[in-house]
Amino acid sequence: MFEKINYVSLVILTGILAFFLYSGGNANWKEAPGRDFYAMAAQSNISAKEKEAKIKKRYGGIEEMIGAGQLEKALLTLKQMETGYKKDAHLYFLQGQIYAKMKLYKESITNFFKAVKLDPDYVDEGCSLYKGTLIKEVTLDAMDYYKGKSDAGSKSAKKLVFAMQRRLAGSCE
Amino acid sequence: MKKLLVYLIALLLTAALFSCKQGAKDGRVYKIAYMICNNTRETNERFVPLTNYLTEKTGYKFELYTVNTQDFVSEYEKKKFDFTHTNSYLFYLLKKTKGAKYLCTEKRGAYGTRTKGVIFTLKSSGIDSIAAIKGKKVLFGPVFAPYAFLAQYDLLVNDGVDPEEDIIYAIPWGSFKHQKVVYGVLYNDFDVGAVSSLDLEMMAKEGKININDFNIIAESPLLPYCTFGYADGVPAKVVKSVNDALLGLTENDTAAVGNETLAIFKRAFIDGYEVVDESEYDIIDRYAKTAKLPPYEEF
Repeated sequence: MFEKINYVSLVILTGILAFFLYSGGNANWKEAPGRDFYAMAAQSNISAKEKEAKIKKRYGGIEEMIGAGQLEKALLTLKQMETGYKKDAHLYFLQGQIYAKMKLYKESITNFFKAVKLDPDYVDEGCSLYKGTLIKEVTLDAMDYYKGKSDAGSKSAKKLVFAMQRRLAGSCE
Repeated sequence: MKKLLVYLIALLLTAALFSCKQGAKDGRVYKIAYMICNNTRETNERFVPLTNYLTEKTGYKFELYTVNTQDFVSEYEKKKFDFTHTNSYLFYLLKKTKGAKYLCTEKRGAYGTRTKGVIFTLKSSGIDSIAAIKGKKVLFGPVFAPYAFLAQYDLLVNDGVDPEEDIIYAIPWGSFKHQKVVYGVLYNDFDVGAVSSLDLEMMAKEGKININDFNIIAESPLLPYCTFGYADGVPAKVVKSVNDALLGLTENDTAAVGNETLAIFKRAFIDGYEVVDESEYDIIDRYAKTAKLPPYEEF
């Protein structure tokens, strides 16, 4: 009796497998645009270029200010833009960069965190937007800066810095 | 009938007793003195919810008390209040001369618990350095403002410009002085302005100005922002309760004001409270010396 059930199960499973191998499901897998990795890569390349162009157009002037050391002006300009571009990751990435130059690590990491949350490309080595090296350097500087400090402000900053470190290491948030 | 009257009196007495006890764990009323920033009405609107929240949260009774910047020290001497909410200069002054104690610092804007003083011009003015200010018309904020007068005064003196000799300077009258400084420069009545970075940030965010119209030609180091302190003699457990309540505030906290429930952060224009290292206030001593302001006034 037990052997009979086993044979029946085997036949049913083989049937299901055969159905999937030769049915339209297989064809869908090949044809679905979302599954075509070449198309996906090409698409992602276009989006990356579009993204770069958008960033250059929107933030080119501010990046020049940062390069010229006009940090306060650049920061205020970004703050002014926050109302209109709340969801734009680069707005926060640049703020993170400015605060890092001012050695305000808590503010810097807070902003880098926001940027990475909105657009993970900043820490993805395969992306043209990748800024992981800079973010890592600032995170390490911040760790050094807060080492041994135990006041309430430093404690909350340390939490952020460690969260950033974990994010850079690639584990879950 | 007589019995009913006795019951009624007993009921009224009990109600009166309970209403007296409500919100006053130790039977005292603690006054929080808030420095008037732009005007009394604004200060009231900003801080009544926070004051009511402290009463709700701690069980002690708190009342808002508004004080003019110039009157703060004398009112403190008269023991008119128990807690203080002032700019960092006034806190430093109360601490140095009257023994006030530090509680925590307010967070707002780009630098959180800190802000900086900036000297700015219109981009079209062509003035690009402190040296180029000589002979120009400069608009400062009020003299007791750490990031709208003291910090900038120090910047000028350190760069070889004597504000009393080398420039023509003025301070606006009335309410909203800081915004008047910005508008004074924007509309070309003055060549140079002195405000806190926070004022420019907030005006830009509110769409009142476009930051790209201006040049920032000098900026001070970061200084602690508005500060909560307390007078000697306030019981330690009350101080701790207030501090815990302030540090624990979040943007979702609300307080009842009359029939309304108001968001504390939004009403008070704040982002929270934090404890900073008290040594961060030390630089104000140098600023006071440079500008010859209390406790180093010469006149």
